[in-house]
Amino acid sequence: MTHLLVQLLCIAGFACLCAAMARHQADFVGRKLDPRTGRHLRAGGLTVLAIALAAAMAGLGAGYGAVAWCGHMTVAAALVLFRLNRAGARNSTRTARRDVR
Amino acid sequence: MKEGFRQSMAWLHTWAGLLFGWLLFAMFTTGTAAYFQEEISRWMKPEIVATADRAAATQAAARYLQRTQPDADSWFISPPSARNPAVEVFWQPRKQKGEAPRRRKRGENSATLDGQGQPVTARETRGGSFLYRFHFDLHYMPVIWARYLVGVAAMFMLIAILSGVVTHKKIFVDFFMLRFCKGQRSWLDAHNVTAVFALPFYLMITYTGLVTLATLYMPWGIAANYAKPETFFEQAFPGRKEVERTGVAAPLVPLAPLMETASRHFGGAPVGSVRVVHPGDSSATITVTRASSAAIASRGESVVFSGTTGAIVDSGAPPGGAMATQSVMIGLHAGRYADWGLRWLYFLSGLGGTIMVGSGLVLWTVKRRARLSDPARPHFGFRLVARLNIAAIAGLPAGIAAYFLANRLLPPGMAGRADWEIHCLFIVWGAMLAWAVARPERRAWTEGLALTAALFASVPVVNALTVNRNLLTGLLSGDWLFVAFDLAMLALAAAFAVAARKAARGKAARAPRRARGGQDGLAPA
Amino acid sequence: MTAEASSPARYRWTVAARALAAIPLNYLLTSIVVGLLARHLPLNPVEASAAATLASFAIFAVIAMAVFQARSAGRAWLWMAGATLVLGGLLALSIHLGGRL
Repeated sequence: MTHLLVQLLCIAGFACLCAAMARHQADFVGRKLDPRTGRHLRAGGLTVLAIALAAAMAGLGAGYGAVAWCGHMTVAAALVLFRLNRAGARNSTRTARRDVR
Repeated sequence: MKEGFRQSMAWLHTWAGLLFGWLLFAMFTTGTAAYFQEEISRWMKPEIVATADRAAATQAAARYLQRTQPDADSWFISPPSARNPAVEVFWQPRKQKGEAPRRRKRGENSATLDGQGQPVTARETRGGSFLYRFHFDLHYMPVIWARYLVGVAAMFMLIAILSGVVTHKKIFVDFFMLRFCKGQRSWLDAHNVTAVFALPFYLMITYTGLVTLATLYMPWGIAANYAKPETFFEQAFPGRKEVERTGVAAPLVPLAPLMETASRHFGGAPVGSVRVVHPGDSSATITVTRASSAAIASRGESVVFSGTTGAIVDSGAPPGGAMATQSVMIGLHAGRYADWGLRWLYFLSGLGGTIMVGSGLVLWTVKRRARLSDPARPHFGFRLVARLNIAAIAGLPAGIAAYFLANRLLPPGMAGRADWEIHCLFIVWGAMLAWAVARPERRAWTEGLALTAALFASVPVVNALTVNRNLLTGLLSGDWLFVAFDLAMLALAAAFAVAARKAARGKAARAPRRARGGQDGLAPA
Repeated sequence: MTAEASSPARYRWTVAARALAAIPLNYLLTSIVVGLLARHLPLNPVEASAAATLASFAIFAVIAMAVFQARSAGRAWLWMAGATLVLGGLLALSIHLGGRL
């Protein structure tokens, strides 16, 4: 249903935005990407977030949809950030172990 | 001056937040719980089960009022809704000549009815609506003082938000830099994370909260144009003028067809309330208002019918831009329009706000502790803040758990039962404060949080022992309210237990501890 | 909070002075501004009163922040007292000439 679709779109959008930032790519994506890909990802991420807003407004009505979109943005951002944190923690342990070896 | 700007905003943020932090924590906790106030009320009145046909129930309620309050000045009927299966009725007794208006006790001029117009025999309780009212009326004090206090707190909150944003200038660019579970910085991170995630929500909820009581806090906009506030309200809400009784008796038309007509007028939206003025008199009017669940704007459109003929007397002019804006703002704050999906988003954001305020309070002590000249003997202000933090963050949730327990444990026929449930909340909260003062600080945190966890965990158990609806029966019979409520209590217990363990582990390794607000059930429409 | 915090006593006086400007004096000034807006916005009186009231909280918050951002408590007081007198006078004049409903 609409709520689920909007949430998934928001997660995808934030994931793109996160992956677009050079300092997070190593953790989030697993390797560094070149700047052009980064720019594409940022544009793509923002577009997907805008599509999420449109979907919310289409499925739930203009006012209601806009409010719901804000709520979904909050949750999606939190989820992406958790994923990033997890990945970052794992990578730093891996680095530490490698250094010890 | 440039040197000073961010620093001065940081200073302002800290003090604006701290001075009213505990009150704001209480407001966020109970306000968040209030998003599920109807569900909490249903849980606290487990005797009420069936949902009735709305029109028939309203008509039956009118019959009840006709039987018991035929001489009332006006009746007010709230038909059953998806979230509340009972009918709520209120009445205003006829004013006797020369009688001074007196404050009526709760229950003296209201009743809860079932679908057949019979008073419901459920345990006397204020349910979830107490938590809702608390977040702006507080308790044990005249309501007007509470509202002023809460308004000042809300303005301090607004300034704290704005100064917080200014201070953290790369707030969105640095968004993905937020890290937690990393020791020293973790309190700051918890505060930043929860603050940024739901920033639009906090701005909205704070500003709209002020707007909800705008005419109390800022009556001068009206006073500048109107010598008497009544003139403004008459112009803003036409059709509300009271008519005199004629003294000629006339029977009231049936309500059900009028509800149908009004609902069509509202484009199919359901009816939220029915108000009958001068029932039984030839001057009777029936005002049917659109349910607040049907649109964001809180002031539902109304249709006014003649009580004797059923003809439409007034169908209300659409409000102007500013009045409509205010109505939408109040609607956004209360969130009554939200379906259960959006309601959970509101709730999660409110929870985030509760954690944000709580973590901010703890952050203050963490930062100050590092700067204490003698950590073994902190100055009075520091000790005060530290103890009040424990009392607020562990104490109020514990009080709310106690409120739920009292609902199940106090005898159903007890006099003043509803008030005593509330007293239990404050007794436990007060006990937590006393404990926080008496014990060494770290122990007080661990013990307080552990007690809160235990209290929440005991709610489903006590419920199962005293009532025949619980998590298991709910799963078997589709009684989702009880499933969700019990799960929520267990989730809160788990969260507080984790927090208690982390508090016990030691200050260097302190990771973000989650302070949660009161809880409730999921209500699929 | 800027250059004046040279000693604890001066710090306290500065804070107190700014707080007085940012709260009670601010409330007075905001009320006056709201009154002027209510009377002179190009809307009907109901709408104008409502709009001015809605805006009041933003006005109050911004003035409060400005007080704490000002170079000194004295400057903040000067500006606010001046504005209060001038705008207060204008409001009184407006009511005297135009009356109220």
